[in-house]
Amino acid sequence: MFNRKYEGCSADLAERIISRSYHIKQKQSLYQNMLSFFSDLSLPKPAFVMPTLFLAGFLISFNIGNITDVTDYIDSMYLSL
Amino acid sequence: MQNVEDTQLLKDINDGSHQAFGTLVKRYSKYFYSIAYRYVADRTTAEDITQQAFLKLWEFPYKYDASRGASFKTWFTQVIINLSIDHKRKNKHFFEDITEMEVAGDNKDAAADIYEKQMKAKLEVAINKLPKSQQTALNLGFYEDIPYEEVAKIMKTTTSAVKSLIMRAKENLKKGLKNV
Repeated sequence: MFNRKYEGCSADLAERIISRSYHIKQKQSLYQNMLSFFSDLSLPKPAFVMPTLFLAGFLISFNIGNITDVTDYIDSMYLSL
Repeated sequence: MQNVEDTQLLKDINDGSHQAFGTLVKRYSKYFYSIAYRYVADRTTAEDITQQAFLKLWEFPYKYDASRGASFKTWFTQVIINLSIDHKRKNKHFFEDITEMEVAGDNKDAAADIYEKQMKAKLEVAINKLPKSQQTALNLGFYEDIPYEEVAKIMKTTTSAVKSLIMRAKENLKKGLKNV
C-alpha cells in the first residue's frame, strides 16, 4: 500500500558535483576575512610610524584651527560689546 | 582520505581542499540524493538539489559549525530537507498533473504502466498533504529507514515523538488514499 516510486541517482552524480566545484571560488566568513586582513598587515615599523605621524599632525592642526576660531569668536563678541 | 572523519574533512574543505570535498561527496551523495528524492519524487530534481547543497557547502564551508553539537550528517540532512521543501513549494502542481494523466490507448501494458504511475502519484499527493513534521518523520524513519534516534536529532524532537508521527502519518495516508 505504501510502496513508492524510487529511481537511483546517476552513476556520475558525485563526479559531476566534484568537477563543478572546481569552477566555484570559496568564500570566507567575516572572521576569516578579518584574520587574513590582519595577517597581511605585517608592515615594517617605519611604515607604521610615518602614517601615525601624519595622522597625529592632521589631528593637532585641526584642533589648533578650531581653537583659533573660538578665540576669534570670543574677540568678536568683546568688540561688539 | 577514505577513512578520515567528517569533521576533519570539513576542516580541510575550509582550507580549500578539493580532495577532502571529493571524499565527502563520494561518501554521502547517494544518501542525500535518496532523501531529496523522497520529497520531490523526480531523479533530475533530486540530483539538482543534492548538487546545489554540496556546492553551497563548498562555497560557504564555514556555515557548518561543529561546535553547535550536530554531526555533519544530521546538519546536512536538514539542509537537504529545507531545499526539497522549498522546491516543492515552488512546484506544487507537479503531482496533480500526473494524477490527471488519462489511461488511454489499446496497449494493455502501457495502460497498466500508466495506472501504476497514477497510483504512485496519488500516494505522493497524499504524502504531500500530510503536515510537514509527519512527512519528514515518514520519509526519514519509514522510507529511508534511518534510526528513530537519528530522525529525532534531525527533527530536534524525541524518539517517541518520531514514532507517534510515523504512526499518525500512516493513518492519515490510509484515509487520504481513499479520498484522492
